[in-house]
Amino acid sequence: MIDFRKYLPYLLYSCKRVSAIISINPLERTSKERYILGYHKSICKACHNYQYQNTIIEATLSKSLKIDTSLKLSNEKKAVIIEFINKEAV
Amino acid sequence: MSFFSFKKKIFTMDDKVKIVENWVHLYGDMLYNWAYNKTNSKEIAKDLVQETFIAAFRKYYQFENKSAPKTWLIAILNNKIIDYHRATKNTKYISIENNGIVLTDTMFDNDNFWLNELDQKIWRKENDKTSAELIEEKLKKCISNLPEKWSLAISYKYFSDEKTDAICQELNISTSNYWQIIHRAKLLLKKCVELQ
Repeated sequence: MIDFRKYLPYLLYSCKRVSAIISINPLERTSKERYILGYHKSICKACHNYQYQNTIIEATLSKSLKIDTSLKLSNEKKAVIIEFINKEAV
Repeated sequence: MSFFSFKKKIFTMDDKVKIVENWVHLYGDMLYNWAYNKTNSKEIAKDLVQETFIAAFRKYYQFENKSAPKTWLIAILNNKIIDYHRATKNTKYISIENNGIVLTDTMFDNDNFWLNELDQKIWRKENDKTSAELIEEKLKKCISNLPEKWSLAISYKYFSDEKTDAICQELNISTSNYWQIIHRAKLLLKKCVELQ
């Protein structure tokens, strides 16, 4: 028979600790963290909201930090850099 | 000389030159795009990339293949970018990490529950394009105000393809510390977006 008393501490996690779990990559969460998060979200609207906000922040960051890769460093500049490196080597 | 020192490959100067030259061709464009994205100036970006490769050549003995060359080069470039912003005072960095920690702590009450957690208007409209654009615009401004280490951790997470372990190794922090930094950075970004 499952002793539910051992799970009680997990139900008492604060929003601060739960918000830290929300920030972890979902694929890297442990089963204990998933359990705590699932339970806490069901009783706490603020954390539920934060998870949604976290998704928006994540999506915006991946979009805005994804850089435009169309710029090319000219061959002349690459040659200048290589020349500098060769000078350093001497 | 110990047994282990035989296992470490000793590079000659020519080897080093060839390796860094190869990196110039392989990663030059990527670093240039990254620097341009952070400085908005093609000339400055080119100079920073040049400085990055020269620094990489000088510090090659520090590299030791612990991480991918791309990650190592980005780390050097990021430091150059931070130095550039410091010198030009274009960006206001919160230099003391403690400031960030205090700011994020004030988002919770004494019992560590959300303090004044309102369903802020800015987050509400799920499919509103204007709202998404507004958040993006605000976030871009807010990222530049993060403490340096936090900003670096965020940049690595979303820019490099490296796994968490490799990023932690590069930043010289533990995995739990890394997730703590990412968490605090996101909290600070949330607060910054809501306050703007």
